[in-house]
Amino acid sequence: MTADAAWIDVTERRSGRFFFGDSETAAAITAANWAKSPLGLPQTWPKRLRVALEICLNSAFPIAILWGGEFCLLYNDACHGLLADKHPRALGLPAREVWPEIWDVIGPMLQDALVGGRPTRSEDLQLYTMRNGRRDEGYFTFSYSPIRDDDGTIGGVFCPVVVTTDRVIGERRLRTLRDLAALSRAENEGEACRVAASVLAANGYDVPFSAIYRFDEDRGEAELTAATGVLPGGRVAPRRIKLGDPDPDNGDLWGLDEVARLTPGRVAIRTLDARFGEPPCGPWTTPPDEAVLFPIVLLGQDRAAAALIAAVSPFKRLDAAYAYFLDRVAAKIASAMTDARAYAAERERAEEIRVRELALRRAEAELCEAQRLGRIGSWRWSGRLDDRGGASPYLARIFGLDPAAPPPSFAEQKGLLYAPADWERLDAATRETLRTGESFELDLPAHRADGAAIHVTIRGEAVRDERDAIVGLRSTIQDITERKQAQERVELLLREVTHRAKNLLTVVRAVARQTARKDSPVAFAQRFDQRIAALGASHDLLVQNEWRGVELHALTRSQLAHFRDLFGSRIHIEGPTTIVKPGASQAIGMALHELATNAGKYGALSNDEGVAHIAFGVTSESGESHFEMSWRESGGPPVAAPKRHGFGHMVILQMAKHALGGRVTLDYASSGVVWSVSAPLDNVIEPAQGED
Amino acid sequence: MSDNEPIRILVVEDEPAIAADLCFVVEEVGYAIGGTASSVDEALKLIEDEHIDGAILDANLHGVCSASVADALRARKLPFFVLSGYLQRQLPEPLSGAPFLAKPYDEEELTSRILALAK
Repeated sequence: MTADAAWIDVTERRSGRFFFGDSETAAAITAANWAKSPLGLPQTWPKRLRVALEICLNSAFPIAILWGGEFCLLYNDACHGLLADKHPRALGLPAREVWPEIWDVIGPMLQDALVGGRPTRSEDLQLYTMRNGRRDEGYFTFSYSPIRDDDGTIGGVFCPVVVTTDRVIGERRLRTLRDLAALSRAENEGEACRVAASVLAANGYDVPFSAIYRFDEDRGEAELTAATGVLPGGRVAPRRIKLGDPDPDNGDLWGLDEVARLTPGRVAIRTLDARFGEPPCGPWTTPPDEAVLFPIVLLGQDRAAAALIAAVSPFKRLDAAYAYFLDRVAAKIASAMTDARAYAAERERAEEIRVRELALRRAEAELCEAQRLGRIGSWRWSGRLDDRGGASPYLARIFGLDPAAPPPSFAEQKGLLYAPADWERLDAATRETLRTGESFELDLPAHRADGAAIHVTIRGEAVRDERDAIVGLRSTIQDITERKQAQERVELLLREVTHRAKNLLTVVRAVARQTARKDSPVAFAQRFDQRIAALGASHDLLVQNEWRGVELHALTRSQLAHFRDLFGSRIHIEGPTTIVKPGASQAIGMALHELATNAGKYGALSNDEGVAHIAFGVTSESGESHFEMSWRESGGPPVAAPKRHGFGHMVILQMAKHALGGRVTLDYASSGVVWSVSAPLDNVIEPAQGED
Repeated sequence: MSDNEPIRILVVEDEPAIAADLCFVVEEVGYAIGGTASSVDEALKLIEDEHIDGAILDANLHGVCSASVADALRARKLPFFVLSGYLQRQLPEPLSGAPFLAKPYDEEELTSRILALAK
């Protein structure tokens, strides 16, 4: 250490003054007028201060020395940046005068080091120092270490300091950008803006307030979508701004119409003058005095969709790093909005697809119902024998197949759904259609899986690909079983009615011919008329009973209608309720008519007291049932057998015998005519109808 | 069959009045009734048992087609004609191929058909 002391002595001697080295600050110290400083002239400075100052001045690290009760400031070249415009005025000044704006923080700390002798250590301490005429947000890591005076007391404070402002603010901005990037995808553009704003709200230091406006080109308006640090709807952030409106109160104060026309990368800067009233301060003690306005241009668009208004910190100069940060914020908002729009479009597409699918499903269900209603199934098929094709659900219903299982292949349908011969017809028709492209229609008997016979109409047409080549067959299968049955019933009935009508006409002609053979024209007219009327009466009964047979009491009464006054007195009808078959009813009816006519002319009904007794019933002889019927006259004039038999006789005897297939006798007993019939029961009586 | 033996005709008809009329006309042209039947079974039995020379055959006997009667007549080479209210083409093959008289028939037509049975 003696060498150092000697070196100081030499410098003192050489200049007559103290020499502190070649640094800019050293020169300033040498040149300064110390007479007015509390430190006094450097020659009077304690030796230990001078030693400490030597170390300070020769350090490339920012070091300050605050000496004496007033903490007069000495520092080296490395401190110039930190002091900014305070250098060189600050040299030798009491610290309180150098940093009145932060004295409330550092004063007590210095006092603590000087009086208590305790060194302090502060890391990233936030201090708003005045720099170049304005307060500046700064962060400092430093220590206050006591320095002994020559007398052993603590004379001052030794302070190495690192400015960490760039690192602290850089980290804070990076966090904001990272949080913006980490946002999950928003549902829509507005939501993207609001979520981005929630991140900005956490960083009021860099963005004291912000507002995002979305442009409504059609209305020429901008609508406030999100805001941070400012009340929406106020003067600074109105809910709606008419673009370019010059109104000084409610107009476009921000000049958003200009921002709407900006290309990406360009910004507008607005001074927050009196027009904005009192803008909010955010975390700062004073309001921002300027704001940067960014156009938010979505990917793939050439016009701004929105504008970001970002207030600039009143405590930070809008330097390149700050501008870059704000530009990145605007870019993140743009990409979040782009993503949201793409997502919304995607969702819209998905929704469109869902709606279309729903409509398709509904149409499919409707088709199913329509097929059920029309009893139509459909089948699409490649034309290959082993292909099962695709069937509509109703097809399984028609054929009684398991709807969950695939339909049988065309080859398997042979013998299963169609009799082999019918399948061959269908096969021929389909092959013809596949070959020529001409449609076919076939009515085919078919079988359900349970064996029940059905009838189907099959219509088929060729399915063609986009090059018009035949690639398969589309067919509908309609269950027409009921219609077919009804049609067959109608056809049968029509045939039957025609047949019966013709038969009846034949009968009429026969009766006419036979009547005409015997009677005079006058008698013919009467007899023919009566016979036809009798025929008509029994026919009426048949029709009334739907051609199923005629009740014998009713038949007898209708044939003897001419003598109805005598029923119960001279005409007795006995027998159980008996339904006779249509054929038998006509024969019996005609026979009764002829018997009654004869009785009225010559027999029991020709005088005033004769009686006709009609009886019928069923008898059983040696296990065989017979139908028995008799007509028995008594009390009439004496009977004589006619010499010549006419049509009536033939009807009563031969016809009855012919129709009933049994034994028919006509006895001309003198006491009265007796007609008796005995016929196998089945020939006469309709078998009892079953329950169904 | 000698010349003074009348030709015997089998009348197969289920409608009594028509059967009666047919019999009348048959007798009127000088032929004899070889029997009358109103069902397929009766007709087959008469063809089997009786001597007949020809037949008048109704196509439908109580709802039963009389095709088997036509077959039996053909097998014995007996002449016959079919009588029906149906159209001839509606009838099954053994009946549709035979001489046909539609109901309701005309007496002259019937007479000529009956006379033709002897040829």
